[in-house]
Amino acid sequence: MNRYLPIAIVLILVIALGYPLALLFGLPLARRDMNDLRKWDKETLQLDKNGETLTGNVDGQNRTFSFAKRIVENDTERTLYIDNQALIYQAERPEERVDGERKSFTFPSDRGLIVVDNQLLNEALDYSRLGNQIDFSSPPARNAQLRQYPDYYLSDLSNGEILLTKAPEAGSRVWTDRYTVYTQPSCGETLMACFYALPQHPVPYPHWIAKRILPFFSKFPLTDERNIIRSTLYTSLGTLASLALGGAVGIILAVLFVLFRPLERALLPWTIASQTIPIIALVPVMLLVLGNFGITIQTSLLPTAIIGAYICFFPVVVSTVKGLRAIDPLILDLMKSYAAHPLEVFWKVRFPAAVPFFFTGLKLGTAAALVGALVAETESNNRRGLGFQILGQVQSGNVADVWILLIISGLLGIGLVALVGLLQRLFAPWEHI
Amino acid sequence: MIYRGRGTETVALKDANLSVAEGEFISLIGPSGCGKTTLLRIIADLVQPSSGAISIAGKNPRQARLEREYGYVFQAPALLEWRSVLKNVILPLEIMGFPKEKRQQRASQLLDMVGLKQFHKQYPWQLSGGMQQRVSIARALAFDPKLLLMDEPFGALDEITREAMNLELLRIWEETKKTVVFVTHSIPEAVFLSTRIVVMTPRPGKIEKIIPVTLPHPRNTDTRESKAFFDLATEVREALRDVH
Repeated sequence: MNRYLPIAIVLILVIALGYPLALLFGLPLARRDMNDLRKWDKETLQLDKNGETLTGNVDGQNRTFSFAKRIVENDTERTLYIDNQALIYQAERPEERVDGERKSFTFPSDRGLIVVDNQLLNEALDYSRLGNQIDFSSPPARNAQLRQYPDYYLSDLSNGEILLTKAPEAGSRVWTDRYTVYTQPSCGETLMACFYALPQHPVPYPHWIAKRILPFFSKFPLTDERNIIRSTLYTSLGTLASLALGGAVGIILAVLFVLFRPLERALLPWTIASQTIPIIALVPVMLLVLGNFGITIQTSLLPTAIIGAYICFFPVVVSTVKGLRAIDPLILDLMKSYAAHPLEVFWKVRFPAAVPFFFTGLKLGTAAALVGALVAETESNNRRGLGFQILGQVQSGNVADVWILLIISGLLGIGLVALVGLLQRLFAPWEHI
Repeated sequence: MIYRGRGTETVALKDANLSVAEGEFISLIGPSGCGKTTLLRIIADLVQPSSGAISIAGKNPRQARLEREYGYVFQAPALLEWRSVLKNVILPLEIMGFPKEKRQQRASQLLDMVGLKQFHKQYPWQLSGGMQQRVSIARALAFDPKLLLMDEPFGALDEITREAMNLELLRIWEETKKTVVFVTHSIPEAVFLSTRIVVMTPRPGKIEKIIPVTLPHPRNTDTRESKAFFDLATEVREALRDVH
C-alpha cells in the first residue's frame, strides 16, 4: 500500500495542478482569440425596404449616430441615408501634394470633415473653409494622409459610431439598408468556447499529453536514430560516460590534492574557475577542437562524455577531498599506534571513508552531467539524443511533445541518480540510512 | 610535557615518575586536566615529551611503538565503520602482516573472549556502545601485545554497563596476564580493577600519591560491597580531595 502512495500522490498532483494550470495559461489566449477581429467572420446584412434606423437623437443639433451591430470598417456595400438621400462615404483626396509647407488645399466637394492621419480636425480651430478650399492654421506634416469625408466619418469603430458633416433636421430619419457586420467569432461566442477551440496552449491538459505519448513514441521506427527510445538510450549512455570520466578525473584530482597539498593550492582556484564558464559557450569550442581530430558527436560518445565530465567532476572533487580528510583523529592515532605505513593509512582508512562522500558528489554531478550531455547534443547537424529532440520539438511548436520530452528528461535524471544510489549501496554497504 | 600554543605555554605534566612491573594493573586517576591522557599518549609515542625519558621493556616509546609492544584502547571505540566487527579486529593483524588463516582464527578467538562471536558479521553501527568498546578491546589484544594502554575506555558508558564491562575486563586481564595502564575518572572502577592506583593532580599535572590495592583476587560483585573496598575508595577520594 505504502509503496504506491507516492505514485498516487504524484498522479493526483498532476491532475489537480495540471488542469488549473492549463486554464491559467490558456484563458488569456482564448480571450485574445475571441477579441481578435481579424479572425472574426463577416456578413453583409441585406435589410428589408424599411432598413435599420441608426440610434441617435434627431433634434437638428446632434451629429453623432451609432449602428446597432459591430461594423466592418472597409465595407464597400454600406449605404447610409438621411430620409431618401444617400450619403457619400468615399474619402476625397486634395489636389495638391502634402509637402509639409503648404497650408492651402483644394478638394472636389465643398463640404465634409477633414481628417489628417485618421485624426479628426476641428473646424475654425485647425482649419477654415472657403468653398472647396481648406486653409490650415499650421501646415500638415509632409506626406501626411489628408482626407475629406463629404457626408460622414466613422469616428469610433468599436461602437460603430459615426459623425455626420451636417446635423440632420429634426424629424428626419438616419438609416441604412445594408452594411457588413462582424458576426460569430471564429473560435466561439464565449470565452470557454474559444478556450476549447484552442489548438494548444503553453501548459497542455494532462490528457492531451497522455494522448500524445503513444504517437510520440512511434513517430519514428526503431531503426531511425530519431526514435525517442533510441534518443533516450543515447543520452543515458552519454551521461553515464560523462559520469565515468568525471568520476575518475574527480577521484584522481581529489587523491592528488590530499596527498600533495601544494598541488591543491595551485590547482583548486583553476578548478573553481573552470566551473564559472557557461557550458553553452564552451560546447561549440570543444566540439570544434574535437572535430579537428575527427571526433564528432555523430561518430563517438567522447565529445558528450568530455562535456558532461567537465561539469560533473567538480562536485566529485570537492566532496571526495572532504571525505578523504574527514577522518576521526582517534583512528589516525590508532593507525599510528600500529606503526602503519602512510600508504596503508591511505588505502585502509582514508579511501574507504571517502567512498560515501564520493557518491554524494557523483549524485550531485549526475544532474549536471545530464545537462552537459543534452547541451552537447543540441549541436547542429546532430540528430541523436534527447537534446536534439528537445530543440526540434520546441522549434516545431508542438506543445504536448515538448512536455513529454520534459517528463522523459526528468525521469531520466531521476533514474540516473537512483542508479548512482544503487552503486553507492553496492560499494558502501556499511552505510545505514 | 609542555604544550605550546600561540604565545602561551601549558605545562601538562611535570615530575611524573612511575615504574610499572610486568602483569600489573595500574590506574591513573585524577580530575580533568591532570595529564592522565597525556601521560598515556607519551607512553604510546603518540606525542613526544618536552623532556624526560620512558622505557618500555628496555626500549624507548618510539621503538616500542614500531615493534608493536602495546595495544591502545581509546575513549571512543574508534572502529572503522566500513569494516565488519571481525574485519575491525583483523585490521591490526593485516597491517602487521599476519598470515591470512591466522588472522581469521585469532580474531574469532578474541571476539569469542569478549563474548561477541555471533556479531562478527555486523557493522559497528549495529552494536551498542558497550559492545563497540568490547570490539575495540579485542582489537587491541588481537596482536597479543605485552602492554595494554586504556584511555577511559568505559567513560561514555552508563553505570550498569560499565560495571559489567569492569568484570569482563578483569576476567580478560586475569586470563591474558597483560600489563595494563588504565586511565579513569571513576574511583570505584579504579579500586575494583587495579593492583595500584596512581592519583594525579592538575596544573601542572603531577603524580600526587600511589595507593596499592590489596583486595584479593579473583574479584567479583561481592568485592564491591566489602569493607576493604570502601576503605580504599575513601583513601583515593581523600587523596583527590587534598588537591583542592
